[in-house]
Amino acid sequence: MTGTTPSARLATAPRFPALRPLAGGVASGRRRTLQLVLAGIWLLDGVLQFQPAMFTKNFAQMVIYPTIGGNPSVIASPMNRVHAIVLNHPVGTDTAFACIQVAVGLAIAYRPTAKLGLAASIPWSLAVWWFGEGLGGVLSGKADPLTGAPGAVILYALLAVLLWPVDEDDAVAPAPFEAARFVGARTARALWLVLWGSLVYFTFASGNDAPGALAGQVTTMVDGQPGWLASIMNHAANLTNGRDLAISIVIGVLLAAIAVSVYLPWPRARRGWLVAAFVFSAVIWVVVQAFGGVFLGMATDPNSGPLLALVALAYWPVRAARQPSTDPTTNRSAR
Amino acid sequence: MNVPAWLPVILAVVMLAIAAFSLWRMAMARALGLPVDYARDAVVFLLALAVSGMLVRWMHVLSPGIWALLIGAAGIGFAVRAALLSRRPEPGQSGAGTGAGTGAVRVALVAAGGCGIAVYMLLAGVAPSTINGSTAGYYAMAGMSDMYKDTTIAFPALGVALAVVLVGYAVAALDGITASAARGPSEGALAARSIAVCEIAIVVTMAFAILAKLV
Repeated sequence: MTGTTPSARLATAPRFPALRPLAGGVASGRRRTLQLVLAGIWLLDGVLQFQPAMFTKNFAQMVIYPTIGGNPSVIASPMNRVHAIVLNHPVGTDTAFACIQVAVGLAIAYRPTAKLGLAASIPWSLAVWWFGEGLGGVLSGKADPLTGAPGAVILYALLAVLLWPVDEDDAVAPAPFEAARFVGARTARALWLVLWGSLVYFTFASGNDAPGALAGQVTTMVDGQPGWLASIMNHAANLTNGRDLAISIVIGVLLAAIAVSVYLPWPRARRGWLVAAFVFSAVIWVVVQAFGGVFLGMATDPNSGPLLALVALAYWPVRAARQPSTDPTTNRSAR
Repeated sequence: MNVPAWLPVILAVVMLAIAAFSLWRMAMARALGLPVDYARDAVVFLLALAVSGMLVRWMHVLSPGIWALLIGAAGIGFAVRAALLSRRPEPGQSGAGTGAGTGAVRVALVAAGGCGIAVYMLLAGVAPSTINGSTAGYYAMAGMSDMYKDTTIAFPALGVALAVVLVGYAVAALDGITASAARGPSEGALAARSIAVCEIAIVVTMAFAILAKLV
């Protein structure tokens, strides 16, 4: 990853002094590519929010309402209020939701506002995680890694932090992977452990080891899907039938290995487990999540599959950079 | 189902403004002798008009078949142009600063791709809603409150994939605009990045039109 040139800095300088802390530090390279993928997902979410069904009362009843049940009252009561507002004002609220998400996506993609977009995405993600996803079912016992736990939208906030633009000159230590550049390697590894470790817990807490549970998860999403996707999902459901406990154990062990893999001392092994994380994300995205249900007209986002894959890419080892200079006045910029 | 009537109207007006802007750009560039890629501006003009026709009835001035022929011909022209340029690069036609990429070949390929997607949309039936009155603000499926899915709408997988491609292009082009701004001087409204902004607006609107499935 290269540092920003003086001309690039000029181009990303904010016109308003108050916004200066949210400008600059947007360089090219892998980190920017990951930011752009995140921007693309935000923009897609915004466009999905403009679908016709989202402007009807069905959005509140079919998307928000089912996530309320089972949550503690301190969580559920505000959700009920938000649900009532969205139910009574579907056009105004949906227009606002869609415009916010489109704006976040475009802001991240436009370099002078990239930090502003990422910063705005964090509170918005947290709000949607609570009021729109019921904290991903974490407290209601509905969380299931295969269907999107711990809530796809919380991963947007995590990615905004991990991919926060870092001015190369301000880097205090060489980062082993992109996710470590802003928060540091220790914190980034801890976040990875918490994320994938929570998926291990939810795998066994979700009840997927009960007979027919896994097949049930897959078949509930089959209705209305394109023929080729329905065929894949039906085959997967048949394969899992009667093997729920064994498959749940395999998934749990796999996720546990992925969770601790960032601490492995061997780069090749770390890369191997990152590939496993990527493949796991892709498989559940297709087979269980049905691409987030985007073919059915009621999808608000592509679900957790692509976001987990993006998180995995942010942890892909960075090639060794230039050797730090021994000159203390220049070694910071070498990083 | 359909979206609120004002939404396609607003987007159609934006598309018309873009079409008028591209015409103005071509006229001004000719008058001032500035180096503008006329073919690129012309395809923006065509696409903007065609997309506005997919959004609202009052802009449905040509049949989808005629639009598909016009835009398909433009797309083929850009594909041929890309092939010729890739064999014999011409430094004078550098597309730097377009936001879509760093060369004229990429600009031509992007234009050809955009035309191809527009042809798909026209042939797949993306068109103004035929529903009288808006479904916005109402229950679209009464008595089915426990359902998460609405199976009355189904998109072709190709359409969704193309919508994702359009969104991906929009963010990449927007990122490229900033990068190009740092590289050199501009010519205001006649700068390449102003037409790149128009292209971004068009592709986002195309993605909306596919996902909104205005039929």
